[in-house]
Amino acid sequence: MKAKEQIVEETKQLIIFKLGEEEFGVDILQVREIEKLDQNITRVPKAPAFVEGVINLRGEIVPIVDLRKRFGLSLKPIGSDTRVIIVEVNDNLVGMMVDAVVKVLRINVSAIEDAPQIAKGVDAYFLNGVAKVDDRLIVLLNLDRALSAEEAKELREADLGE
Amino acid sequence: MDTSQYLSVFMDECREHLQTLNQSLLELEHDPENSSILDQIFRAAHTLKGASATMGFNKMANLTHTMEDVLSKLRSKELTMTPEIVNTLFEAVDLLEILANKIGEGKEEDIEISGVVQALQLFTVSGVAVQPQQERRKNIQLRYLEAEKDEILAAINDETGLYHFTVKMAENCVLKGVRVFMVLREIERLGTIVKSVPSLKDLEDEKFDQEFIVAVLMSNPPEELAKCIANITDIAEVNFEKIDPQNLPLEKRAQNQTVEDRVKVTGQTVRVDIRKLDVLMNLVAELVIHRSRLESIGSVLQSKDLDEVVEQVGRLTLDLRDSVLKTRMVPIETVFSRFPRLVRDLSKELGKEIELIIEGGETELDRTVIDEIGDPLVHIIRNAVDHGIEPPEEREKAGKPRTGTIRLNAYQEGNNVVIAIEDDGRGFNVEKVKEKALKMGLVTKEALAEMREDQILELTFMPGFSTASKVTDVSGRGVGMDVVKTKVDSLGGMIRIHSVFGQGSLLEIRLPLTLAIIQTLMVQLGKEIYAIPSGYIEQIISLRQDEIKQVRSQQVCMLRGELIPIIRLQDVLDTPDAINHELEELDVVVLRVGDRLVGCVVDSLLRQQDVVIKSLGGYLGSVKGIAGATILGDGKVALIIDIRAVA
Repeated sequence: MKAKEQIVEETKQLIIFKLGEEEFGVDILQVREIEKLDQNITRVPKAPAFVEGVINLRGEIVPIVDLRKRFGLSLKPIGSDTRVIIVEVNDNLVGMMVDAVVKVLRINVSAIEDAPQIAKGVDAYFLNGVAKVDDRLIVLLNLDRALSAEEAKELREADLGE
Repeated sequence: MDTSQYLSVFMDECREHLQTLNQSLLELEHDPENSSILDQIFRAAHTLKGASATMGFNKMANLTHTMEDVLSKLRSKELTMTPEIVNTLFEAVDLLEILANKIGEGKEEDIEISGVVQALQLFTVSGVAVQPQQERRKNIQLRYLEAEKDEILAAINDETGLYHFTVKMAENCVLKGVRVFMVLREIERLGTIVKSVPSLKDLEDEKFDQEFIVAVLMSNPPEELAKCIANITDIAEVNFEKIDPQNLPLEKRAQNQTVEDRVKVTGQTVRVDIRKLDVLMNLVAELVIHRSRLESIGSVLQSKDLDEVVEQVGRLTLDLRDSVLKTRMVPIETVFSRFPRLVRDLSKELGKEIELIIEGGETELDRTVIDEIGDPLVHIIRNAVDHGIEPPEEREKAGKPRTGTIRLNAYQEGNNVVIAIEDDGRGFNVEKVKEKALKMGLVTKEALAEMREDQILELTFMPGFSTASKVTDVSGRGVGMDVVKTKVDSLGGMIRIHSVFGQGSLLEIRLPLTLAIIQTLMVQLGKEIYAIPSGYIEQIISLRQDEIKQVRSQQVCMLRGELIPIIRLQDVLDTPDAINHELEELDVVVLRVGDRLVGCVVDSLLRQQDVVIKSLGGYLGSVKGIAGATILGDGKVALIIDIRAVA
């Protein structure tokens, strides 16, 4: 009986990555590819502060967002585990720089709960919720908001304005 | 029949024919007696009719059909050309254009054509009583050229005579081509074919109605041949007449030949979807990037063989790139061709007499630039017609010829194309511009006093600016020149005004040949590499640190006896580790932005390089000071500086 229920249940595949010790998840359907950061990032003057710069992704220019900077976390130098998750947001390619990519995980949609105001140091406005998997808590990113050029506060105000 | 896959081909053809119609109608208006122009118009209308009927666009077919009726009466001289007919034909062409656009959107049904159709029909009904049968016969006539006449005279003797065989096919004949072939074979058996109407090729292609005429040289009795032909299935009627070789009906005009020649020249083209060219362009761009990579690897490995290959590949790649760029080039004619009509209509509407002179239509520009530049030019020409050229009476009073002249000229200058629009109208009134600018609060009185005349004229490019005191239907709504300026800017071009009050004005638009590849100077700034578009570089100078002086908050230097401002690029680009403050000798790139010169201090100059412009992408959008990015030989990204925002 129980097994049957599980088959019917809606699931989601996530790419799990790390910022510091915390685990974050992003919907695999939004991820184009994962790249090692083996080239210099070209800084773009006057771009938003959390935009690290641009890279050449097989002939295409792709901006790189440092998620640590975006979420106001403490900064960390680029290491051998550093990865760029290339995602598609509003038809544009954006690379998210993260400390490490852990694995692909399938979760039940029912396991997703609303995020608390601040989850693991990240403003809830950037999140789609949190998922409890085994004993771990995985924070699910809302890419549209997390990668938007606007600040969380401005965004929230704009939303309230509507 | 599902015709959707042919729609784009149809639309292309449609546009081409509409252009021909417009152009030829304009020519016809000036030269109403010229029958070769009329023929051209007729052919265009006829082809459109056929094509639209095939595609099932009944309204367009209907309209072109009525046009054809009028045109064929004009050709057969049953009707004489009047200004009313020309105007109505113009109206019909306009309507066709609207129809074509609607068809593009898939809404042909929305358009009402009955008004124009009725107006056209009025001409045909009120003309001479129609005799369709005879009219048709009138259309087919076999005439000879001078050269042919000589040949025939040489071939004819006592035994051999020249006969015209008129063959009529049965109305329900299915395989016309086959029947024609059989007829011709019979004729060849008994005589020699000299000529036919329609031409033999058209006959084989079944491009004829029901009747054709073949001129035959033969010594056998013609009755026998006529009998043979009449025995062929589906032949309704055969007539022949003996032609007196001394009295050959001769071709009245030689112009037909030139029309044919023209068709030949333009015939050798292939229509290619612009997206295919874009793909090709992107591929070549990638190739150019990898060529540079190959070069830098080659210079490390120092192998003679490799160097040789790399050099060959490099040369080939450049040739390939140039060729691809050329395939994207379109003569500016395609934009210019709509202006004669525009000027004609506007000047009629405004009661002005204007001659439009177009030069340099063959000048080529990248397709992307061509697509964008049309509307700005329309604006400028409307302005010239509306505000520039005075009414005839006013011109006479000012001692000018009644007819005003607008001269449209395009020519290539280095890596740019210049489009100049000159008129001999009243020119800009600088005082009026000043007054207006002050009233609108665009400038202060002090600033105005220091400005040169051309700088003041450039104020007319500000949003909302219009010197026309009276708003007309044509222009002068205060939107326009600023839109023109924005467009030209976005294409990486420049626009300048020269004007002499009372004598006319000249607008010069300078555009890059292509938007895809630009020549740049690579410069180093700290650890970063930037590309400066060569088009802006006036010269490169070397300065000692102490030659740069501080005047208030601005650094300046002397260049050819003039003070020019100096900017340190790192200040604009926030580069953290630039070293030019510590250098003895400074490399300064002198840039020309409009009329100003600005010196840009960099750390060092690297090299000249053609680069492929890539956008920073929609995520970053437009970043101030950066025009785009490019990929260097080593795969790194270098940013291209947007000079206008920086200097």
